[in-house]
Amino acid sequence: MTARYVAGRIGQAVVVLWAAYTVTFVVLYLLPSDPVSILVDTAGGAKGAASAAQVAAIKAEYGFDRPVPVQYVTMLGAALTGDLGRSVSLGTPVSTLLEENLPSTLALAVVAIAITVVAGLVLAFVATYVRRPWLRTLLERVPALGVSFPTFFIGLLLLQVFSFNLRLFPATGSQGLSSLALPAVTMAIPAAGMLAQVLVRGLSDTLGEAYVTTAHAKGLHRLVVHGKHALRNAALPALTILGVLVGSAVTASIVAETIFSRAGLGRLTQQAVLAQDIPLVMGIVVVAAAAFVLVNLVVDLIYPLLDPRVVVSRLAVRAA
Amino acid sequence: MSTSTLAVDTPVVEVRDLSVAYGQHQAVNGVSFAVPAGRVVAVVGESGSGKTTTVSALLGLLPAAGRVVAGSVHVGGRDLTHVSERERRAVRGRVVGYVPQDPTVGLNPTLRVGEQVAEAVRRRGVPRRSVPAEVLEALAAAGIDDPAQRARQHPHQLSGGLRQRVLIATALAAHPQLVIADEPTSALDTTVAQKILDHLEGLVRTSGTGLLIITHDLRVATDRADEVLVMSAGRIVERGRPVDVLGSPQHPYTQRLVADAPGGGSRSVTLVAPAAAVSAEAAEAAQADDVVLRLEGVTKDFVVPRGAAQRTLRALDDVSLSVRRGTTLALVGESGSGKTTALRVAMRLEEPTSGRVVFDGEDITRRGWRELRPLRRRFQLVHQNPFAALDPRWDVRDLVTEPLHSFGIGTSAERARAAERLLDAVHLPAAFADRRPAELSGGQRQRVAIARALALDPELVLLDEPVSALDVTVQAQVLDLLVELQRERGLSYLLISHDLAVVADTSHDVAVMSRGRIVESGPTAQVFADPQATTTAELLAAVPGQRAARRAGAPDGQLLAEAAR
Repeated sequence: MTARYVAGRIGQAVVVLWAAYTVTFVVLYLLPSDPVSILVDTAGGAKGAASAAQVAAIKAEYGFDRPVPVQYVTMLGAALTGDLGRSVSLGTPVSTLLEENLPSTLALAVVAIAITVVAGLVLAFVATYVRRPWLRTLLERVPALGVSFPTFFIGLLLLQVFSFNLRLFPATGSQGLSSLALPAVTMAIPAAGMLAQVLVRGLSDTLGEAYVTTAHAKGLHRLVVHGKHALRNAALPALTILGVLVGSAVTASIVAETIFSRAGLGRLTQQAVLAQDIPLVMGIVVVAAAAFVLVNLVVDLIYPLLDPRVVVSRLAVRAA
Repeated sequence: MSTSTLAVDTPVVEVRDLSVAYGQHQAVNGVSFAVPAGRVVAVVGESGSGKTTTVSALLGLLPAAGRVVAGSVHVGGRDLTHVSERERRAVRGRVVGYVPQDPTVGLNPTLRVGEQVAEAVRRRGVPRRSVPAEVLEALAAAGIDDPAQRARQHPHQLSGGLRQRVLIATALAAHPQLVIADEPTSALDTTVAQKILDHLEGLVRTSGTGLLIITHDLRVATDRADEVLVMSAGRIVERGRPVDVLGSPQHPYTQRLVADAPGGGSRSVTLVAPAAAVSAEAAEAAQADDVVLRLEGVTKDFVVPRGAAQRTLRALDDVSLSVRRGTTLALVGESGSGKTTALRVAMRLEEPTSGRVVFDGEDITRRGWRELRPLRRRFQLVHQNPFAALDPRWDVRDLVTEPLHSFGIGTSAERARAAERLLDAVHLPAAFADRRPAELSGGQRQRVAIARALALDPELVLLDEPVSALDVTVQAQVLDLLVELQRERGLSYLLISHDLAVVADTSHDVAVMSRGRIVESGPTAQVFADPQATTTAELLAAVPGQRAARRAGAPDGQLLAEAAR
């Protein structure tokens, strides 16, 4: 049963990834009125200055002279072997650009997610654990605050305080761990707020459940009841949210990397879009989609470990 | 009571003049009682009577809003009202074990059963290595077969009865001096509940542990307790030996409880009441061949997927039954016996594998949804759980007139008048039309559900455990209403119930089901007086309230038969 569950999830992930690739292909290559002229413009030279030879060269390189299905199949086949084409504006292969920029963004995302999880968990746990009603109410309001500030505002605020006033962290750059701190916190604050909101809600609900009373009646310490009995059940909906947050870390990094002038996928995306570099945009979209699919696959695989009922109920649904 | 000599004078728990308030509301008011070691004390009362608050105070688990305004709770020699959380925690589990109300939600769904029992075992300071063995021992002591396998399973893999046994194992695993059982049976079938209570009582009596049973069912209390306390509106209004409380109730509230207990198990002892309000004339007037609903040789198979191989499960096996016009046919049996499937087939919500369903002379077995719809006006359903059967966002007026909407009957003004008439028929004030379900009690909600079923003026009403989710006093009121409506409107009922006492009060005929088959059927009085099938005898023996009656001198089984006449 479990093997079937895992195989099913992986199959779904592959299908989603393929669909994302296809939709991106349609949007970027088929919908623009004239992708060739965009590409020619991007490749250099003033508007309208492209010679017939240039146009022909571009057409040949990107295969626009062939029928659409052939173009699609060729590109998909190349993508499967890791060849995502060549960036028009920079002239380097897209896969090389991704390889160069991915590690820095990954590091940023990992640190940001770690901060998100720890901050969200601690905040939600403490907010539901404290007994004084006024303190509880106060702590329960904090997550909403984190969610409602726009990322760029948080980033500028942190920059002003910790970099320009206190001079604790560098304002810009990609070198060293200290350069990660401010952008990671910038990304983590709204994400942690969202996570804490869901967790507070889940914990409040779970703490009213009968099995929590059973646990208390055994004479277990409040911390044990809270952490072992309540948190585990409350974590289930939060895990889904966490999956979404991790998956969208690439998008979130665009803002953070722009504010703090960090090299990375985010800044590369910004450049690619501004330069209308279609192959590069396509490559980035595929990577972002892959990240999303991968994270959700992991969430789906962790779920049954936390909630033993999942596999059974999903199979039951299919049987009905 | 051989064990009562053990230590009668050292109460495990002693509550003195306890008063608990939630804000301005006084939930418990000057309550005093004690539970000596090895004795069984039962607290009886409706929801809202303060019994749950008393339990919370005993466990030191009053919600933040609850305040002890006076009195004391001595547990194991300490006054819990004036100690730190740390000391209160020391009492929980170790001194006072707790068996919660509903086994389906009382266990953590994400933890293995064994671990949940182990938490209680560890409270005794058992060395780490011997914990697993002690867990298995506790599970086995609670009457669980194959404890090693059960310990590895998660709660959702166990039946309700098994889960209740796990909770009992948990409560006893820390070897407490007192066990509190909070409505230990209301979520279970009577036969299962009976076995489990017997087991719990046996464990408690042999180990010299005190047992405090909290229940709304006077019959459960009087069957087992050495002392019965009756609570109403936060006060203990009556206390005494079960025989005395049943035989000569002093307080008006207790008298009502005794009178309302369904089945008259106790009723016949005290009141020698002219049996239930079932109208004998109606039964006689109904001609044997005037049948509203008939199932003929109905068989229903379900396909259960199990890996690659498929297995069929026969839920109904050659079931035949008929509901005579103007009478009630009760379908009884344990859960899993096929009662609900039979009802679903009768309503044509489920397609029978073979056999016929005949409604008022018309064969509806193969009718399509569209062809059946006009007939649906003539038979209606009342669900088991009135808390789930009503959409919380609708007001009562919309709820009771929904069937009229659905069949496009009447203008909105006419429907508003219909709502008033329907509410009047179920004895609810017209002002209730603007309320929403959350503002109604369980009994009132079930009245709304009945009103909704009556909106289309049906001939047949199918009642799926219509009172099992309600307090005893409310049960009696709803059953009386159903009988009254039957007499006034000439309704026919197909009643599903696992409580034979309810059946005795309401039904003309009874069909007993076991494993998908009907093992016995006939007039209720006859079947109950002289049961032929073992299933029937078992179900009859499991009806609570009989032991106390027997102690008072009434013969077995006879009581229900009398009530049914």
